[in-house]
Amino acid sequence: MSTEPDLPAWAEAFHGEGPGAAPALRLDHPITRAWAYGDGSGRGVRVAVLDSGIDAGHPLVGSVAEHVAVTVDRDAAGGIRIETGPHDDLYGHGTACAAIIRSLAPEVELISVRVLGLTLKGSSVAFAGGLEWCIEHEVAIANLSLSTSNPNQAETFHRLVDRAAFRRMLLVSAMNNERKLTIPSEYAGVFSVACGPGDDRERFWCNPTGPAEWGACGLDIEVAWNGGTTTRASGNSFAAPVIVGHLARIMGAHPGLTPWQARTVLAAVAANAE
Amino acid sequence: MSALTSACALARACYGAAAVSVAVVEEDALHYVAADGAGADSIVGTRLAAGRGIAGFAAATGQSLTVRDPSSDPRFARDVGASTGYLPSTIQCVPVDVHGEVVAVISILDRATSDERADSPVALERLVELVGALLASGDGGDGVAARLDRLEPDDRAAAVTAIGAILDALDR
Repeated sequence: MSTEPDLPAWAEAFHGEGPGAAPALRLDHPITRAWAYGDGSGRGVRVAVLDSGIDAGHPLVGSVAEHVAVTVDRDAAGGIRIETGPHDDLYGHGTACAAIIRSLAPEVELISVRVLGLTLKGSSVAFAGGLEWCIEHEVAIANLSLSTSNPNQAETFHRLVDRAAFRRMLLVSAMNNERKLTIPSEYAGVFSVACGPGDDRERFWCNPTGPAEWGACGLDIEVAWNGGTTTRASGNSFAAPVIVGHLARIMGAHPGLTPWQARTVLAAVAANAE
Repeated sequence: MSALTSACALARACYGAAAVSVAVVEEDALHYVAADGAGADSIVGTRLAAGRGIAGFAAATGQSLTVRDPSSDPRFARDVGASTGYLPSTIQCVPVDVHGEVVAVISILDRATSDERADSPVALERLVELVGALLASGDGGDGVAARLDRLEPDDRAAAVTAIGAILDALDR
């Protein structure tokens, strides 16, 4: 692996000497990509992107099956308001993540869960509300390329991560780009992701020592952006949807895997699997 | 020069950047309170509505983001680039947390690559800590007086009366 300059925090695990070998299963018949991915389409897998929205008209996104917007509303029950119906992407970030997922698993059902609104305060409350909506609406995999550093939200997200796990919902969470507390990406119950080297989305790495458990490309890569455009961007945010895409292939081929089973299959087809 | 502006100048030199700015997070906008480098005079005082720009994303999510050619986003160009007269090739926006709440965003425009830099820069985390400490200490250029100035006259008078009552109570 090459050494990259100016890495986001946690990405160093996947550079230099790399994370070593992924955990080995020692099976008589190793798990292969052909078995793990099936046709590789991710057909029918409900994948939510909790983010700034998804531009359904972007040519790299294709289509969006559902739109849900979660906003802070102190007068509403639970302090949040949930609205369905088409919405824009406020920043371009959610569209970037959705397009990466679509490029790897072209037949997933994308769901835009917009948790950012026209206020800059209280977004962690909307984030938690969006995650709860996913748990209650049969989402199979959720892409969380955002996080919170608010320690007051730690218990809320612990409970949500546990609920998701026992519902067999996979949560894929980007590590923060700075070395600071990030919730829920440092929790063992999520697939936590940081940037690996290169720009090949077919390659990803397993780091069994964590807390950045998975590495995938996210440094200076071309991503979809607002207005049907693309741009070049860096961040652990863009590595997480790569892992989502691979998990969508696995869940499309093997519906109903638990998060722990999916984690085992994913490690078996990682670039550093023995 | 405020302490925050000095921090911007130091960071700009350290990172070999074209410009560095600090915007404090308000309920529905980012308010640029300090900057150094290209477009600094124009950006300070600007308010960027929530739901706009890469800095807005960092403020809303607490997640930093680096984007090359941000002017490809038409909303970025209109809201920020056009107002300062400087369109960067690369922008890095880093949130500043105080007690788990994002209170500001540092924007670094056209940061030099590691090949172009002579020395290893101070870790970005140290800059974030410095700006966070300055804002928490009230030396961020957006103190009580500046906030009072933004109120409507009636509200400002009521706020001044309330603050005076609090200070009187503390003196007793």
